[in-house]
Amino acid sequence: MSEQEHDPSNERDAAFVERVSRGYGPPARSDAERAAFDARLRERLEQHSSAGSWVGRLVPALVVAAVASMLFLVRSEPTAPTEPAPAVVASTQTTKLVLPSSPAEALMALADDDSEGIAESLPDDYAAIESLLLGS
Amino acid sequence: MSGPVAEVDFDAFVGEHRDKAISLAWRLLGGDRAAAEDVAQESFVRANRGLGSFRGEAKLSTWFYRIVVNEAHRYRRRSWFEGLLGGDVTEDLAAPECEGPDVLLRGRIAQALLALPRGQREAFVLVHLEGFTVREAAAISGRAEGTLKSHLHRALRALRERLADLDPSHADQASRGAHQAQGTPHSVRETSGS
Repeated sequence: MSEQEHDPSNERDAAFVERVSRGYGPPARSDAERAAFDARLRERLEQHSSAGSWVGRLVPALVVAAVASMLFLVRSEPTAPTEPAPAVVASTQTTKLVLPSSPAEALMALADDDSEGIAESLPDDYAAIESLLLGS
Repeated sequence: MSGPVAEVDFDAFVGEHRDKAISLAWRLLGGDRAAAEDVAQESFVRANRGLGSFRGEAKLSTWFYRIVVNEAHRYRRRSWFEGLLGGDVTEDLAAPECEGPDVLLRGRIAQALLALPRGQREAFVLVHLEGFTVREAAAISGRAEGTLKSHLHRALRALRERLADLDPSHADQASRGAHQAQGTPHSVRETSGS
């Protein structure tokens, strides 16, 4: 520490800082601990390089996020079912939502989505005028 | 100064800065040894990735210690969020290896530092505990020198309030006052913290 660039305003400050510095410092490191740190660092560097660039890690995460958003938008369309929607997997007490574990699975789930279940759950009065809306 | 930096011997770089990186992280993270090593390692990993694009606008060491400071802040923020999600929100200081007044004092100082705003804590640790000059500390923390000096002044004032028993003048005044009240001769006694 250069006394010219860092000069406590008075001796009192210097004494206080000295006490804090003496009372708050990391334990000394042995050569074995330093070697262990370096070895762990080398492993970490190897893991980072074998996992690919951060772009390679980011793209799949973005795909999953985009697909999850699309699934959310599709399933949030307003319905007034008179009977349970067949697309939902129901257990005895709770409703289970199965999340895709990979981008490929998420895309397959989107492709397999059975949107006809929505039409089957239309209330009677809507079903009655459906033919008029379709112009038959 | 511009243009690519000459190839850096990374092993030598690690050897030169390892201890100081761990020490700086240790002091910024309240004495958590495992966290300090984690932060130091992550800082070296980031430096290894960034060395190729480092153009020498600043000293290499200044650039590296800025990574350490930012990584320590990132670690604390991550721990805080994880605490909100299900863990203990309070600062998790490293368990002392043994009981004793030194460990207790260390814990008190750690808590006092962690209670400071980020700018004041970093300024105090960089200048007063790690021995960087004001100019170096300002470059590392990305602040103007005037701002850093202001942070230093406020940090010192706040710490002296919280750690009053470590302040020699405060201990002296307290002792003088107690003896005057009792009508006994004044004598200076050394305190080593609670």
